[in-house]
Amino acid sequence: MPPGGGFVLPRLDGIPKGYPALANEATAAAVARTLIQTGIAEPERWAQAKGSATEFVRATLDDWLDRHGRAVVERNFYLDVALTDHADPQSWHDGEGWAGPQRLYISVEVESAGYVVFGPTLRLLEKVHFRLPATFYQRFVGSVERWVRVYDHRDGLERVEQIKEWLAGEPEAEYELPDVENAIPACMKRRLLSDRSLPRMARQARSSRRKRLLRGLLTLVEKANQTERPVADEDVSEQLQDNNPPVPALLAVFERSDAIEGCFDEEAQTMLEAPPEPNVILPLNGRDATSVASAFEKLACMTQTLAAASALIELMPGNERTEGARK
Amino acid sequence: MAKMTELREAVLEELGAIAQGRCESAQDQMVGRFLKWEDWQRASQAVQRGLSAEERNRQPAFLSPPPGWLPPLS
Repeated sequence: MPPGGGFVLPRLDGIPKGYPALANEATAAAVARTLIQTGIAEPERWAQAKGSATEFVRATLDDWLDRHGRAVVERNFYLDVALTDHADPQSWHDGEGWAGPQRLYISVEVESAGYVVFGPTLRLLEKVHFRLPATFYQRFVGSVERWVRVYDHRDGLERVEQIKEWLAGEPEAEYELPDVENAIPACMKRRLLSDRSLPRMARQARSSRRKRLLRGLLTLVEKANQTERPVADEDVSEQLQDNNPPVPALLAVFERSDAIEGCFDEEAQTMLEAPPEPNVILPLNGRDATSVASAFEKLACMTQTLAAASALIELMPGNERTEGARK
Repeated sequence: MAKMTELREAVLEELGAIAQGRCESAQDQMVGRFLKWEDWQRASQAVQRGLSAEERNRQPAFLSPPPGWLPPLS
C-alpha cells in the first residue's frame, strides 16, 4: 500500500561512501608505514593525502608507477594496478577470511587488450635469416607472457577445435569456421635460432631498422627474465576458483582483421561473463618490509618488461601510430 | 636533512596510531568534520528548509483506492 502524501528520502546510512581497495584505514595505515620504511613512499605525500591512509597508499602506488615507465607502458597496454586485500578485487566480499594487513596483494587487471601486428616485421626479418621471424615472434610473445596474457594464433586454433567439437554434436548447425591455420605465415613453422645467435645478428644487421628491432627484442628478453613471476598459491587459487581466465593484455595478429582477430572478437563477447582473474597477483605482508620490497621488485620487473614491449611495438612496421590501438 | 627525518618520524608515528586504532584517521572523522565545517552545516540547513517548504506548500490530490483496497494509512 503506497503512503498517501509527502515523499520519502532513501536512507544512506550504512552505504559506504566509497569502495577503497583496502578494507579499512587501519590496514592502509599499516601498509603505508611499511611503504615509508622501505623508501617506496615519500612522507611528504602524507600532507596531500589529507589524513587518509587509503589515499596515501593509492597516491604512493600512482607515483611509483610514474617513476617506473608507466608513460611508455600505457601507450600500448591498458592496465589497472591496485594494492588490495583480496586476490579478486572485482568481486564482492563480506570480510570472511580476511587476514588483515599481513595478507595483501598487488593486482594487475586489464581494462582492454593492446594490439600488435606481426606480419610486416616477420617479412622484414626474413631477409636477415630465414629462421629469424619465428624466433622473433616466440621471444617477443614468450617474454610478455611471463607477466600478462597474450591472445594469439594458439588461442585461435584452440577456439576452432572447440567449435568443431560443438558442431559435431549439432549436425544441423551452420557455422563458418575461421581459417586460423591459413592466417599463420609459413615462416612461423621454422625451427628457432639459438639465444646466442640473436646478439650476433643485432650487431651484424645491415639496416638500422632491423638493428633497432633486434636490439629492442634483446632488451625485452633481458627485462622479462630478471625475476620469476610468483605462482598462485593455494589461498589465491581458492579465492579465484569461480573466476574466468584473465582478460588478454595483448592481442597478437599477423595481419589486421585476420582470422585470429576474428576469433578474439568472438571470444571477447563472453570473457566478462564471470569476473576475470587479474593478470598478475603479487601477495605481500603489509607489515613486513622485505615482503613489500620483494613484491614491488617483481612489479618493477613487470613494468620494465611491458615498457620494453611497448617501445618495440612502436618500432615494428605496421604498428606506427600516435596512440596505441586497443581492442 | 634533520627536518626530513623529523617529518618521516612524525608521519610514521601518526600512521602507527591509526594502524593500532589509537586515533581515527580523517576518513573516519566524517561527523567530526561536519561539526567543525560551517559551510557544510549551512548547506544541510538549506536542504532541510527546502524540503520542509516543499512539504508545507504541497496540496496533494489523493486518488481513490481501487475497490476492495484499504485507504492509505497517512
